[in-house]
Amino acid sequence: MSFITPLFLFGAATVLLPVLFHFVRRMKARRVPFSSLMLLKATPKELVKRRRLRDLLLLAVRAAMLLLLTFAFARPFIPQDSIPFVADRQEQSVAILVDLSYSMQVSGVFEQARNALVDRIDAASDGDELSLIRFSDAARQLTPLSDDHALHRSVVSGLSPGYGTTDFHTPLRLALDILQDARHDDRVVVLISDFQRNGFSGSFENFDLGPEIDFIPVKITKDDLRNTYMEAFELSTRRTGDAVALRLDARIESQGQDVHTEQVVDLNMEGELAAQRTVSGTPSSPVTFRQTASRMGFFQGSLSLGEDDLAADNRYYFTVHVTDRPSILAVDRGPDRRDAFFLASAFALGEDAHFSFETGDLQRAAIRDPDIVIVANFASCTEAEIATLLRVARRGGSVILSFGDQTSPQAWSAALQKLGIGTSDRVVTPRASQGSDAIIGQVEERHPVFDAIASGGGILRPVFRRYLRVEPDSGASVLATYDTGDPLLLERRVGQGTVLVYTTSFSTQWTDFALHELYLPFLYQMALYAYSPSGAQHNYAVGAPVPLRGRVGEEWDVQAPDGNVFRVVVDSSGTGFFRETGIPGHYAAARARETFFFSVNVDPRESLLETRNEEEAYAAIAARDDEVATVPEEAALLVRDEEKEQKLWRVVIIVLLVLFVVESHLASRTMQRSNPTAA
Amino acid sequence: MPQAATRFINPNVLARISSLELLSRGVVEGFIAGLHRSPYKGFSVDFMEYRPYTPGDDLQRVDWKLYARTDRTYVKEFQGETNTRLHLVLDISGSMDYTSHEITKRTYCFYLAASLAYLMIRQRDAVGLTLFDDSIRTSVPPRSSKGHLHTLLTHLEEAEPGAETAFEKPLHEIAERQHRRGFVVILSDLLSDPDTLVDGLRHFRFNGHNVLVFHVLDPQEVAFEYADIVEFEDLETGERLLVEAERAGQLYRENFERFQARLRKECALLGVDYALLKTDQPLDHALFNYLSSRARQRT
Repeated sequence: MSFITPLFLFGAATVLLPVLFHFVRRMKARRVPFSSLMLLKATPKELVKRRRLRDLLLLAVRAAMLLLLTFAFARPFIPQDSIPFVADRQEQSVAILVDLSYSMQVSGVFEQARNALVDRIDAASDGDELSLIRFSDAARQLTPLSDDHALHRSVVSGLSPGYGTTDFHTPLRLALDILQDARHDDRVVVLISDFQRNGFSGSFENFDLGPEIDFIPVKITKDDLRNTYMEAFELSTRRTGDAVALRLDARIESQGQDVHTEQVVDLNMEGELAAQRTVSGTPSSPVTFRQTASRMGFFQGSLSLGEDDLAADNRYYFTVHVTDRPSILAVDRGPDRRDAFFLASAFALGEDAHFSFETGDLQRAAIRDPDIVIVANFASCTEAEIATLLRVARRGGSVILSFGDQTSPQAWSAALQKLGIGTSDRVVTPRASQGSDAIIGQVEERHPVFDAIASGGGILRPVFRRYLRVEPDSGASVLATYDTGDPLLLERRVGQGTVLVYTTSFSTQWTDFALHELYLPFLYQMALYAYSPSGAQHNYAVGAPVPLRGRVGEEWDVQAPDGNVFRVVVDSSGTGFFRETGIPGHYAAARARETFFFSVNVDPRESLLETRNEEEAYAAIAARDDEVATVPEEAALLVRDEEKEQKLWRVVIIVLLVLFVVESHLASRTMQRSNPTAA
Repeated sequence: MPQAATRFINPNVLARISSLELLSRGVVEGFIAGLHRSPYKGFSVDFMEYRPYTPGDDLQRVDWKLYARTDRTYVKEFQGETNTRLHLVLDISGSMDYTSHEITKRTYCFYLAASLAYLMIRQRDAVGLTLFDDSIRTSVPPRSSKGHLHTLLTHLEEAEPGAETAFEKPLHEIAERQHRRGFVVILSDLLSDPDTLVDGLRHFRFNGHNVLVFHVLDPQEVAFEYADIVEFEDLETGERLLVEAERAGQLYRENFERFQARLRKECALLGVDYALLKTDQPLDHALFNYLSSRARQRT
C-alpha cells in the first residue's frame, strides 16, 4: 500500500492523545480519599472488569478513528503492479511537444531535448498512443496520435532546432485539438522546452488545459550561458550628388557570463570584410558603420559577432538597394499651378534630393517614362490621358491623382471608373454640410504611407475645406478618410503599379495641410510607397512572408541561403508570397529579367535567454485558480491516477463512520451510567 | 444581599486570609453592613437606643461623646439579649479534612465558628468552644470579654486533626458540662452513627439548650460526581472500596438522601434546628441560619 500524501501519516501520532488521556485519567482516579465510606457500596468485581473492558474498547475505537482519519487524509492506494491478476496502469494518450526554437541550438541543449523525447517514447506502454508535435513560433504535428511507437521513433532523428522564436500557446492549442480525438481517458501533454520567457504570451490568461488533461513540463537547461546578439539594426542611405552613403546602426547586447568583455563586430559587404569595430564591454553597446555605395543596385552584407553559446544570433544579414533617384512628373492644369509649386518645394531639392522632380504635361510621361506621375487640377481626363496613366501604372510606375477648383466631378467619375477607383459625384464643402471643415478621420495606420504621421495626434490638425467625394470601387482600398466618412486617400493596384487618389489638393486651395509640419513627411512616404510599393523592404524576420509582385501567373524563383530554390506564383491580387524564410541569410528572387534580393534574420527576442522554471511554466499553463502551482512529478501523476481510480479513502471514511456509530453507542452507555437522570 | 458583602464572605476568598480574627471581623462586619442595607433588618442584633443614666448603671456604658454634646448622661442599651451563652461544638475528626476544591470542611467550620464568636462577642454574649472527634479534644468555657475572642481563635488555629467521629461520648460530656441554659451550635459532617447523634442532641434539649446543627459537607459529598472505576479510601479508617463510580454514585445519592432525611426528621422531633451547609456556600448563609434560628427560638 502507498499513499499520495504520506506526510499526513504523522497525524497518526495523535492516537497517543486518547491513550495518554485514558491512562492519566485512570491513574488519577485510581485511589481517591473520601470522607466516609458509610454511604458507599462496593461494586461487584465482574462489573468492574466489564467496565474496564468497555473503557478499553472505547479507547481502541477512538484510537482507530484517529488512525483512519489520518489514513484517509494520506489518500491510500494499492499500486497496481503489486496487485496480482490486475492489468497494468491505465493507458494514456500523450501529446509530446518539442521546442525547436533557435534558443535550443545552444550547445548540448537540443541533445538533452531529444534524449528526453526518446525516453518518453520508450516509457510508453504498448497501449499508449502518442503524437509528436514540433514547435517554435508555429506548430506542426509530426506524427498522428497512435500507438505505433516505431513511427514516433523514426521522426526523432530528423529533428533539429530551427530559427523560429518560442510560442507555447499555438502548440498547446494544437495538442488540445489532437487529444480531443484520443482513445484513452487518461490524457497528458508533455512539453519539452527550455521555457523561454518570451514564449509565454498574454494569451495564456484565457487558456485552460482542462482538468482532464495532465501537464508535464520537461525543462531542458544549461547553466552559465553567455550570449551576445544584435538587438536592433537600422540601415539608412543618404545621397549627395551621385554618391550614396550607407549608414548601419546596431545595438550589441550581452547577457550571461563575461558580459563586460569587449566585442569585435565585423561588417562584411559583398562577401568581404569591409570594416571592423570593437565595442566596449558593457551589456548594451551601440555600433555604427559608414560605407559608400560604389555603384547602383543591390548590396548584401552582414554584421557578425564573436562566438558564444548561441551562434544563431551572432550574424545579422542585410540587403540594401541603391538606385538612381526616382523620377516624379507633376502635371498641374490649375491656372496658377499652385499644386506644382508646393510639390516642387517638397521634392526639387537639388543634389541632395531623394527624387528627381519635374513638371510638364502628360505627353512627357509617355516619353520620359517617369516612376511617379502626379496629376493635379484636371477638369477631367480624356480617353488618351487615361490610357497614358494606365500604361504608366502597368509597367510598374505609380499615378497619384489630386483635385482642385478645376475639377468636374461628373467628368472625373467616368475616368475614376476606368481606373478602377470608383465614382465621384460632387465636390464637398464640409462647412456647408456639417458646420465645420473636415479633418482626418481614420487612417490605415499600418500602411507605409502613414508610417511617419499616424502616431502622435498631429494628424488631427490639418483641416480640409473641400474635397472630391469618391464612392470607392470594391477593388480599391481606402487608406484614410475624413471625419465625414468620405475617402481621403484611396489605392488601387493596376498592373505592376499603383494608382493613388488624394481627393483634395496638394496646394492650399482646398486644405491647409500644405502648411502643416506633417505635409512633407506625408508626401515623401507617399512617394516612396508609390515608387516601390512591392518591396521597399529588403529585410525580414525568420518565418515572415515576403511579398513578390508581378503579373498574374508570373513565377518567381527564390533561392534560399542553403541553396534550395522555391517557386512562387503571383496570384490574382498581383502578389505572390514566399513563406520559406526559415533560415537566416541572403535570399535571391528572380523572374524573367529582374532579380530581387532580400535578407532574413532571427528574431532577437529569442536571444534573450531568460527562462522560466518548471513551477512557473506549470503555473502559467496548467494551474487552476484554486491550485497551488507545484509541478507534479510524472510518477506522482501516475500514482495520482491510480489513487483516483481506487478511491480507497472513501472506504476508509465509511469504516470511520461505522466506528463513529460504535463509539457513540459505547460512550452513551457510559454517560447513561454517570448521569442516570438522563436515562 | 449586596454583592460586595457576599463576595467578601465567599469561603474561597476567605481562604486567602491567614488571620482568623481578621477573617471573622471581615465576615461579620460585612454581613452586618449587608443587613443594614438589606430588607432583613429584623435580624439586626446591634441595634441600640439611649436611656437616661440611673444610679447603678455601668459607667462604661455611658455615652461620653453624647454627654459632651448635650451635657446629659445617657446609657447605650442593646436590644439583643445580653445574657445569651453560645456554645460552639466543632467536629475535628479525620473526615472533616476532605475537600474537592479549595477549603476543607474543617477550615470552613473554623471560619464559621470564628465568625459566630466574633458576632456574639461583639454584642457582648458569652461564647464557649468545644472541639471533638471521638472524644473532647479542647474545651473553652463561655466568656463574653473581648479578649476571649482571641482565646477562642487561638484554640481554633492550633487545633490538630482528630481521629474518627463518635458522637456518643463527647456530646454527652458537653451536655453535662453546660449547666446554664444556652445556645449550642454543632458544626459537623455528621458522618457517624445517627443514633448516637440523636442521643446527644436529646441530652442537650433535656438540659434546656437551644440547639442548631450545621451539617457541613463538601459539594462532592452531596452530588458525588465521580466517573470511571475509583478506589475510595476512608479518611478516618483507611478502609478502601473499589467502585464503578457512575453505578456507585447513584446508590450513594440515594443513601445520602435517606441519611439526610432521617437527620432532618430526628432534629425536627427534638426541636433542633438543622441546616445543611456546603463548603462552597458563602458564610452569610450560615450566619443567617443562626440568627433566624435564634430569633425563632427566642419567640
